[in-house]
Amino acid sequence: MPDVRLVGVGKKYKDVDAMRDVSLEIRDQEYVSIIGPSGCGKSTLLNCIAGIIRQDSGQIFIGDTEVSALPPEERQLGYMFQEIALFPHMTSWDNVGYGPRVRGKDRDFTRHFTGQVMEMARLKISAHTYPDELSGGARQKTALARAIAAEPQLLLLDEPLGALDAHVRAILRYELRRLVNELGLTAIHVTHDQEEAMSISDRLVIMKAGQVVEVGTPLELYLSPKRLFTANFLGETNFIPASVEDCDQGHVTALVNGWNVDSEGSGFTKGQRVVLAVRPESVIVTRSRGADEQWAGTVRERVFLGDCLRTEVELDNGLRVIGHTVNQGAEPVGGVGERVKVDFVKGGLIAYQIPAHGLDVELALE
Amino acid sequence: MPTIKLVNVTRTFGRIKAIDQVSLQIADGEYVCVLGPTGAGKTTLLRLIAGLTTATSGSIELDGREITNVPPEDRNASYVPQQYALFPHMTVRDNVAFGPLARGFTLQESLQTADEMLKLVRLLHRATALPHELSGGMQQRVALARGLAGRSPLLLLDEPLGAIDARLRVILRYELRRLAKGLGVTVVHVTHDQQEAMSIADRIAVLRDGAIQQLGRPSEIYEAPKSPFLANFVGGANFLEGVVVREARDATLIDVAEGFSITSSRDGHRMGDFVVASFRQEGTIVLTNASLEENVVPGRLVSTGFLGSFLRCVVDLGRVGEVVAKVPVREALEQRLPDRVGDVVYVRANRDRIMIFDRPERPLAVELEAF
Repeated sequence: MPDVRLVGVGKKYKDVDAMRDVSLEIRDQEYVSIIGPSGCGKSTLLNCIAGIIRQDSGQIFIGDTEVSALPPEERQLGYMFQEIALFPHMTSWDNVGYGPRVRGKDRDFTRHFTGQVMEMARLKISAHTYPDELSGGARQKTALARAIAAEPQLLLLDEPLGALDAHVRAILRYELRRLVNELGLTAIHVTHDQEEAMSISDRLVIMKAGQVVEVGTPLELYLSPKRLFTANFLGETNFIPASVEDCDQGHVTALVNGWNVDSEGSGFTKGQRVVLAVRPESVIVTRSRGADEQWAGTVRERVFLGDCLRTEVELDNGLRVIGHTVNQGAEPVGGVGERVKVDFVKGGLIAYQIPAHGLDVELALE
Repeated sequence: MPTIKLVNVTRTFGRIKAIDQVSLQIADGEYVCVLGPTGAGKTTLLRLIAGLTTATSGSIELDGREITNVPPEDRNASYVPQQYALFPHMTVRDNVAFGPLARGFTLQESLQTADEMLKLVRLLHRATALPHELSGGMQQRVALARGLAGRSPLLLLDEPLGAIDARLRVILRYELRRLAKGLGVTVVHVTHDQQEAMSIADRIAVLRDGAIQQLGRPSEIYEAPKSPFLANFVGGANFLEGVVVREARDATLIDVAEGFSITSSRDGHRMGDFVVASFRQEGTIVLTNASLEENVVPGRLVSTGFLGSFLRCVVDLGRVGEVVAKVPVREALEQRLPDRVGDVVYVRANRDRIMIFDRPERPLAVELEAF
């Protein structure tokens, strides 16, 4: 089972960098997702690893072998794309057994092995069904089973769940992860869906404009991203302009339109302009206790999201803040027009330098 | 001012009933999402309202006027299909201006409207681009802007955010609602994404097999779904089959496995009834220590997944079955929740969050299926 290593890989289309100087190490049996907005270069990266696109510069290693110049069929990979191409005239069973058959495995082995893979993919029920009679979910599982039955060392997945309903997607991603786990494969998964990536990956590679922005575990990147882009891409975030009053031992006291707030952060000087980032679930909305409070405001919008309630508060200092409150059955505080107070969970605010190219450019999703 | 009324509308294709006896009333200025799995009949329903397909039986009224057989162009509705077709040789601005121009506005008025709409969908900076220079998501927003620019009081949208990246989609759905409310238009919006429907709609009509399963505000459908299918499709939940063994005024006791029973504060079922007890994933609490509270069941952690604001824990409760809990991430970190697969944990749900359904006629797994 292979490690995958990319060293300084780049690819240009005409004069445009689709991917620039990407270096990356993926460990044996690791499940890594490459995520970023459309056009960020994530599919180009995957296609270079697959050998479908030849990079202009840099090297790619799978295990100990440099594969930079090898054709796809010599890289021992399985891949699966959003547009699945199952053989329409073959049943699920025959589609899955195609790999072992063409590799010259004998009939007994093929039958046994195909059965095993079908079982693992929970597909036995549709073994004798043709692709166009299968539901979208079952078709996708068949495509995955076929990729796996070819016994690849490395599985490459490009938006493997992209064509499915949201509800089915959210179920199948866990099945996909379980299957990869049970087989002990190394997998690289490309998606635009950050929740899908976070929920099943060991590590994430965040890309933007052809470059790797940041690499880390989902938890690291979600809770303490190094870049504001990462914070924004991985989920809704409040970005609050502030100035530093005091900075000591990883803590920042900041001033936001005349109000004080404590934040994490280090290396700032007094008076420096910063951006505070805080997730909606770290914003606590409670009933206002009285007049002239700091961090008091009026609820402007409330949206029921099922597992939580999204409240938009217009603070008295002019700032707007979004808070998410977990649905606990009871009617929560804060109808539209109600006076409320906003608090922040300890450790929920992180201070960032204002990016040199401007906050809007840093946060841009396209 | 558009109000829409469908009365017993049926549309068949050969022997297939794509739409089956649908009755639905939409108020002026209301934002209604039609939500359902692939093949539920959502697009057919929208096309019936648009006049692009005709009802086999039943009637459709717009503002009290029967329009069942009125051609689309006389319905004063703007329909934005999923397969939006932009004019490839026209700039983004001209594509959007085409609608008002065709409706008799002057060129200057039309271009001004186009720019306003492009600003709303955040594409004004690409006004001079040609469609093929844009990503799929951007093209979809141009199509949306073109639909809006016609200034029809009724907007019919088929998966208007479907081609857009997940993260941007979340941002745009709030903007789309703000936009519709700002313009005062009535909207019917088709989607398969329940989160999208919940965050954007005044009311949701959940469609399955051509029929409306439930119609209500998002919170109504989430808190009081009418069937296990609805609970599962809208929001997801845990389901345990069992038998009612005791009933009191505000407590129903349900045996869910030998030696395990749970208490719900909901009533309406009798002793001996076969039922399905159901509770939401965010209402499923994971404890690291045993507790004497009611509705606590021991189990083992099967897997964890990180969802962002929640940690998703799958717990095997042995004979009771498997349940999923969504634990707020900050809580999970503070409690030092075990994250090693195989660890013993305890799962609890509050009695007032336990819903009770009649056991469906078909097997539960089939009832829940939305593939």
